[in-house]
Formats: sequence, structure tokens, C-alpha cells
Amino acid sequence: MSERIVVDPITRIEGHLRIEAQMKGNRIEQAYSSGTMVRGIETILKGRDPRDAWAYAQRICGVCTLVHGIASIRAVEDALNYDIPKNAQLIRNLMIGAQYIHDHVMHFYHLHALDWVDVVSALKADPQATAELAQSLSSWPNSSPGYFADTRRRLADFVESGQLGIFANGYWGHPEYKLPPEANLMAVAHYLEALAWQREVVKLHTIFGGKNPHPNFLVGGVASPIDLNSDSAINARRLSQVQDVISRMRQFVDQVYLPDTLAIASFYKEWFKRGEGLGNFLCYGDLPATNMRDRDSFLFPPGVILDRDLSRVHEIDMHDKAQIQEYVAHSWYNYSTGKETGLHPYDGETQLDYTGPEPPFKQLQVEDPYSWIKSPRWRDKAMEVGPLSRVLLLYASGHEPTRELARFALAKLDLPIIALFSTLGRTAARTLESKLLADAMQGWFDDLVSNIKRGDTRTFNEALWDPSTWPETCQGAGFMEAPRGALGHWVVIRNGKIANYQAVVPSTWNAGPRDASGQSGAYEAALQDQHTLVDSSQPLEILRTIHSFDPCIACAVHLADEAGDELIKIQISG
Amino acid sequence: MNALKSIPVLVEAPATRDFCYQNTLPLLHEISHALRRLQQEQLPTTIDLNAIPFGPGDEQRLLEFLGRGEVSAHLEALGNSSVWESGYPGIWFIEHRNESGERVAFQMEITTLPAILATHPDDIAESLSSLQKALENPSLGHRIGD
Amino acid sequence: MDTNTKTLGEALRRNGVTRRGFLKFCTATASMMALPPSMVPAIAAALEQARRPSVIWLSFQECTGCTESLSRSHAPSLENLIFDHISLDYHHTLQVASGEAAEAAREAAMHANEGAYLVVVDGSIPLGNPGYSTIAGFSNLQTLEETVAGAVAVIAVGTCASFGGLPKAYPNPTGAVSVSDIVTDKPVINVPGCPPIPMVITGVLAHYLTFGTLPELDHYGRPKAFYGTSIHDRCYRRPFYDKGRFAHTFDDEGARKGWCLYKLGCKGPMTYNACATAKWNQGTSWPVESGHGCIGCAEPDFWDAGGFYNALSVPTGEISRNASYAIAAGVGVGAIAAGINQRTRNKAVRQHAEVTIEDLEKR
Repeated sequence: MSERIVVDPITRIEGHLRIEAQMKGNRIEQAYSSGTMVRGIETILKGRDPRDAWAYAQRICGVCTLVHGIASIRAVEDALNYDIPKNAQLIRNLMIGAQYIHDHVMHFYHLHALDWVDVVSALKADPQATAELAQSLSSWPNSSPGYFADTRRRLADFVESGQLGIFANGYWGHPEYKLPPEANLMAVAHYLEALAWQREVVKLHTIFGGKNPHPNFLVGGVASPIDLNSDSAINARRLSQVQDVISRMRQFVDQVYLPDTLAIASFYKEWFKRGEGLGNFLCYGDLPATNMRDRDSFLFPPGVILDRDLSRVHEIDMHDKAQIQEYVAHSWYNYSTGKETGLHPYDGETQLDYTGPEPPFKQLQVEDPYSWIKSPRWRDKAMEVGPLSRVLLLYASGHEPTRELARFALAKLDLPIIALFSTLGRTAARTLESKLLADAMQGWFDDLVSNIKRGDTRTFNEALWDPSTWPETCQGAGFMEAPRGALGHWVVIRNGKIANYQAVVPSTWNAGPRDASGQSGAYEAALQDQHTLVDSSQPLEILRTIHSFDPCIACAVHLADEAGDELIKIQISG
Repeated sequence: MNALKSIPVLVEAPATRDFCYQNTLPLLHEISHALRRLQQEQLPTTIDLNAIPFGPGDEQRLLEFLGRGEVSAHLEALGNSSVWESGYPGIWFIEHRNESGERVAFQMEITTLPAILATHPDDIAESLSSLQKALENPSLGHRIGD
Repeated sequence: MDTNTKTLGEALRRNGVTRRGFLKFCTATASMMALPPSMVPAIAAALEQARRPSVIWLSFQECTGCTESLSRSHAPSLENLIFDHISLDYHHTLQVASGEAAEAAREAAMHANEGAYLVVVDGSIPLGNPGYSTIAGFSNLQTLEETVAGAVAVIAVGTCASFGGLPKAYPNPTGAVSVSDIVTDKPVINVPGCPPIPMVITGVLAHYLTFGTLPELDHYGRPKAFYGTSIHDRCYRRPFYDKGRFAHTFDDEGARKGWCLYKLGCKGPMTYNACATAKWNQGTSWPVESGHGCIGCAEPDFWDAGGFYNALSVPTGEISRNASYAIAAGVGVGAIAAGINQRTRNKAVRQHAEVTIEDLEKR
């Protein structure tokens, strides 16, 4: 019995994703990941002022609202050899750290949790027992029986109204939901609390970038001057607000996010045995203590892990054309070099060529192109990027705080290190790196304050702001570790304007379709790793593994530039 | 916070009345007109402070300029609210917060008593009937015997 | 509409909200809708009748920034909105159900609330090829037309849905259009901004929920309550502009002291939005206050209106004439700059060109 299951739209993600699964009995035999929306932002970027590019690139995605802005200004700065002041580097680190923690917490509670938490079951919870459970896990203050009774009453009123809104048609009562009612109620309470918490912590972006989503960035530094004697600049009042945000982040991660992750995971240990897929992990590295050329100072180390082998980290070189290539054999694009070939982003080209079925359609022709996402490869191997890659790279490179944290979490769950190679391993890695980052943020903040105290208030380097100071032609690459994984932007500047722009983003690595040789992308491989469905009309299992990647499909599908445009050789610093 | 405290310069709350962005001064004039209307025509005025384009520090300067008077009240309904009379009698501040402590409204009322403090006639009627019931059966009264 | 649904007034009382609490709620609602405090009694009366309307949120060529912005709203908060104010029956980013179950929820809401539900759209609609954006195998055009057929009104949230936004920027590779380019037989409210201010999104929803009518709109279909004045006219830095004191780079004395960002390319004079008063993220700051000029993100075709760091080319010697400051400053540079924008937009669209005073004089 062979059945094709289609899940479209995949909800609780960023963007438009479709999954088709070819079943063998109740087991997924083949999975196909399709990005179903394209805009063409790189084409739009051509001819623009490179100093403006961050704003266009940033609109690739409003969830990871910072990452494309940062990658873009880094690409332009790399092209121009443009140094930024130390304060600007620290402020960018703080903004990146805040993005991570905000993003990871919202992903866990608002996008992923309801794959594991049965909201309807929470109605059966005993508030007293829920309070006891919460207090046994953490010292978080909101844990009284009255508090949980209020949450339950609010939920009951809502359900009684008959208008279930966003909770309508959930797979409530599915046998794969295994939490006791009390754990479900606690998670629902934290779902609501996290919504209020995130409104507070984004203020860090507002202070330095004027708003969130889509804060402002600036080539050459940051657009938030420091002056302790001015009301209208970063001053002591602003710094103390930033400190408050960092404290709130650390507290929530330590007292809510981390304990909840471990508590929920402990009921789903079989999900530490499936959903790995590729076993290859890639990381560009990020968060410098000094500057982007000094890779040894990165908090996240760059490198590649192959076939789960943590004893060996392969070096990654973004400008080696033999290393990173993108394929379009199963994507709705053409290459002038032929559809079976791979191209490095230097030589990248993208011509929209929709050859899928005419909408409305029921099923994709997966032997043909079936996605707006390309298939990037490292030395022709498919790679997973994201939190699990970073945690494994940190672990493999001997980062002691990571090792200690991983040992602690695995001991709590009574699991071996190999359990990280899985659906829930990916989810747990996201939590662990949030803890590392929250702690690191305090360090960057202290550095910023002591730098200001020493009298250094510079935030912007004016030297290369004027395009008349630029060479006629130059090019550069900006990279970063976005919350969802390795992100690279490549820019070519000619006569002060953008001649070409390319981006290879985390969800392109993870969500891409098969390549010319038939190798699956990370989502596909993970779904093909021991997934059986209890009820094919309620494919909860598919959602669990797909959500463990935290898909960001607007990011993955943004490409489109004119064919055949020459991309000139790019030197990556460092 | 330790690092922060060690910054030698503290710029919070300059004691001067230098309204550098100048949005406070016209507002104060408007308040004085409203106060006159209240005195002469018994007409109260409400100003939504969220609609005033304050610059950084303006709100704080306004609050400092007007100071705090002898009345302040606390309201617990859908989160906390604070009501206080400024150092200039007849000028009141009403600050509403939601359950998460976030400010949802901030107003000035130039009046004898802010409307939200006065007891609603329907509440008085309900109050009377429940008090009478409580007197008939003192065990029901939640205030009696306190 | 479901006749068993309680009114908002009933729901609040059932939750133990007192009359003072209700008055507070109405006060906050008035403030959020940018209505004068004198409207509070009318709001209170209207809310006694208001029911939770069904809202179907469609996401097309978008980046989810508008949804993220909605989640930053605190008055009402997203959780209060979902629990108390609206029935959010379809929303990709937030809803639990996926695939067929998600589409079934949308169809059920359309059926149960025929003629009464609101449709919110974020993102533009590509007309270049139906395959450029599909959901459940349907093109965005098909989904939009099917869903709005029984709607009472459509709210286009964000600049992409309102005006085409970034996908429509030159050379518009996918043939992206706005909601109002397609929906012509229903009221369409445009709530632009990239993203819009959270309070503006909820304010427009609250206006409809409270009064059951559309707010007053400007010639771009934007609610006047929020888009009636330019950023420049409400900017706290306006007095520096009037005195001719400008920041010349991002870290000079002027930048640090909060002088006008006009010469660094601020588009405040030609941008109509509420940032200067509503501010962002609970009044924490807003772009100009943090030190970066306004990029004009609530205006049609702002992506093609010249570079973000090129000053609007008005000779500054002539406009530093107003020494006195008034909160509701009148025309001035705002009108001049808006005129520049109109006249040079087409050229700029084609060439991504810098707009200079010389260009203007050639015409």
C-alpha cells in the first residue's frame, strides 16, 4: 500500500513550505520538501546603493529580522575593507545575541511546543499538582496553584466559547501526545508568558536600531551614537535598560526555557532516536570578541563535521569554488551551464523557470523540479546547519561550557551523546545554545560599558562612507551564524552600485530538494529516518521533525538574478 | 549592574527646567488654559499623553515639573493603575497598566476628581442590595468582622 | 455569525472585570485607536455590543515581519487579542493545524461567518506566474479571490499588501501587485509600514471591532487617525530642523545631541505614519530617536524613491525659517518633499537614481 501524504501549508513556521511524503505502509519512505513562494529580492538589489542593501536584504525575513541586515553590511564592509569601531562590534553582538534568544524562545513555545503539548488535555489538569510540578523544576515565581487555576479558567472559557481560533482543528487527543495534563497546563501558561516576555526583550533592538521587527543597521558601524551627557543618545538610562533586558533573558532561559525543554523531552525519549538524517553538519562561525577577520576570537567556531565524526573538524573556505555549490536539478530555475551542474555563489545565477503543475494542483511531480529552493552542497555533500551543528562544533572543538551543559542535560535525561543526532536533539541544542548566548551577552555588555568608561564612545567610522572613496570595482562576502544556521551574502560593487548580489541562507541548506545525484536535503533525510505515522490524516510526526529545524522559508527562497552575469572573484578576509 | 554603576557620569533627571525638545512647554500652557476653564466654567479636560510627540526625557521632565501632591490612589482591575494629583491641585495623572505590567494608557485629567475614581451609580445600587443581604445573613458579609 | 457568542462587554464581566476595569479598558482602547478621550463613552457603549469577529489572515509574498510586529502589541496584547477580541481562525504562523486541517479551518470559518468575517492580508500577490506563490496547491490569486468573496472587508497589513512593497520594487521580477489592485468590490483598508506599528494594526482591528465601521481613510486608503501627519511634523527633533542644526554624520556632535537627521537622508518629511507619537515597542524608541533617519516605509514605492542616505533635495537655507515650534506644524518641507517624491518617482523607479535638486530644475 503506497500513499502520498501532502502537508501544505506547513504552519507554525516562517514562510510557505509544502511536504509530500511517499508512504510504505505507515512508514515514510521518501519525503519531498518544497518551498512554494518566490519574490526575487536579489534582482531587485541590482543597481542600488550598497549602503542601502541591508534594508532590502533584511526584508528577506521578518522573523530572523536581524540576520540578513547584518550579513549584508558585513558583505559590503568586507568588499570595502571597512573597519568598524569596537563599540559597534559589541553592539552588533548584543543585537545578534538578543535575536537568537528571542527567536529560539518564540520558536520553542509558539511554533514547536504544540507538537508536544496537548492544549485540550490541559483542561483536565489539577492546578495544585501543576504548581508542585512547576516548583519542582524551577524557582520561576509564577508557579502558585492560583496562577495555574487562572490559566486553566481562561483556557476553559475560551474553549467554551466555541470559537477555537488558532487552536481549531489541532490534532488534540492524538495518541502521540504523551504529557500528563499538568505538564500541558504548565506549558500553556508558559506559552502565554513567553508572549509577554518577548515583547520586553525586543526592546534591546529598539534602543540600538529604533524598532523591532526590522531594526536599522549601518555600514561602517551602528546608527546609535553614545553620549552619556545627551538625552538623545546611548546614555546611562539606555544602558541600564539594556542590562535589564539581558537579565530578563538570562532569567527566562535559566528558569523557564531550559527546565521546560528537559521536562517535556523526558516524556518523548523515543524522539532522540529518529529524525537525524544527514549526519553532516556545517557552521561558518560568528560572534567575534575582536573583529570578523579574527576567526579565533569567534564564540561559534567555523567548520564541518562529516558522518557524525566529532573527532575531526574539517576546515571551511567560503571562497573555494570546489567547496560550496548550489544545484537546481530539482528547483524551478535554469542555469546557463546546464540544469545538472553546480555553481559556486561567485558564479551563481538564477532564472525563474516554473515548470510545476498549473495551480490548483494536488500533487507535485517529484521526478521533475519541485521547489523554489536550491540545493546547496559542501564538497558535493548535503549538510545540516543550525543549532545542532553549532553545538556539535563547539563540542568537537572542546568548548568546555558547552561540554558541561551537554553533559548536564544528557545526564538529566539519561541519554548518551549520540542522542543529540535526532529530532529532539536538534530542539535541545537550540535550548543549550540559548543558555550559552545569554551568558555571553552579559560579557559583551560589560565590555561595552568598560569601553565607554575608558572614554571610547565611537560607534561609526566615517572614513569610507562616501562612495567617491571606493575602488571602481570590489567584491566581498558577509557571513554569520543566524539562529537557523550558516548564512552568507556575496556582493559585487561596480561604480558605487551593486553589480551582483547572492545569498545562501540556512533554510536553503536544510529545506532544499534533492540534487542532481538524487541526494536528499536535510528535511527530507530527517523525515526518511525512521518515521512512522500513527494516523496518516493527522501527520503530527512530520510536523515534529520539520519544526525541529525551525523552518524559515522566505529566507530559503529569495533568489533570482539575471542569468549569465559575471560574478567576479571574491576575497574573503581571514 | 555593577559595571554600570561605576560609570562616573550620571545623566538621569537633569534638575533644570530646560525643555530642550520644547514639546513640554506648549503642553504646560495648554494645561494652564484647561485649569482656567475648570476654574471659570467647571469644564474638565482630558489629555492623552500617548498622543504627544515627546522627545527622550520630555515625559520625565513634565512629571518633575508638576511634582506630586497629597493624593494618590491605586486601582486593581485588568492590571494595576495609578492615579495621583500633581503638585498643582486639579491636575491629575492616570496611568493604566495591563496584567503584564505594560502601560496601556497614560492621561492627564484637569478636574476635581478623575472619573475612574468616582463610584458608578450602578455599583452603588448593587452595593446597597448586597449590603442589605449581608446584614440579613451576617455570615455572607465579607467585610463585616474584619 | 455564531449567535451563541457573547459580546465583549459580557465576556469581560464574566471574567470578573468591574465597571472601573471596563472604563479603563475603554480608555486604553481609545488611546490605541488614536481617538480623543472624549470618545470613551461612545467606545464603552459600542463595546457592550461588540462580538468576537472571525478573522482570516492570509500570507502571500511576505516575510512574516507583519505577524512578528502584531506579536509585539501590548494594548491589546496578542494573547488578549486571540482570547478576547477576535477569533483568529486562520493564520499560518500561529495556528496549530497544518495541511488539510488548516484549510478546513479556513473553510469552516468562511462558511459559519458568511458575509461577516474580516480578511487580513500580508504580502503582495504575484501575477507573473501562478506558480510563483502557492498554498495548498492554489495560487495566491485563487486563494485571495475565494476567501474575500464572503468577507465584509479586507485589511491589507504592511506595505507589500497595501502597495506591492518590496516584491514590487523595480524590476518587479514576479509581477507583484497589492490587494487593492485585485479586490475592488469590497472595502480595503491599507495599513502600511515595513512592518506597521503593532498598535496601528491592533488599532485598526479594534476600530472595526468596536464600531463595526471602517475608519476614515486618506487617498491611499490609510486610516487618517494614524497616517494623517508626517513623521517630520510630529518629530521631537523638528525644532533643530527649524533652527538649521543638523547631524552631518552618524557619530558627530549633532548625532549625539539629537539634532535633525535630514541631511543624513531622513525621509520623515514625506512619510505619513505614527512613529513619532506611538513610537515602537511600548514607547521604547523609534528610528529617528535611536539615531537613524526614517526610511519612509509606509509610503507607496518607497523602495524606489532614491537612496536612504540621500537628503531630500530642498535647499536648507530657505527652510530654516521657522524659529518657533508648534506641535501641529503646518505644511513646510513635508509638502515640498512629497511633491518631489511624486514627480521623480518614475525616473527613480527605472534607474534607482539619486534625486537631486538639479534633476528637479530640469523638469
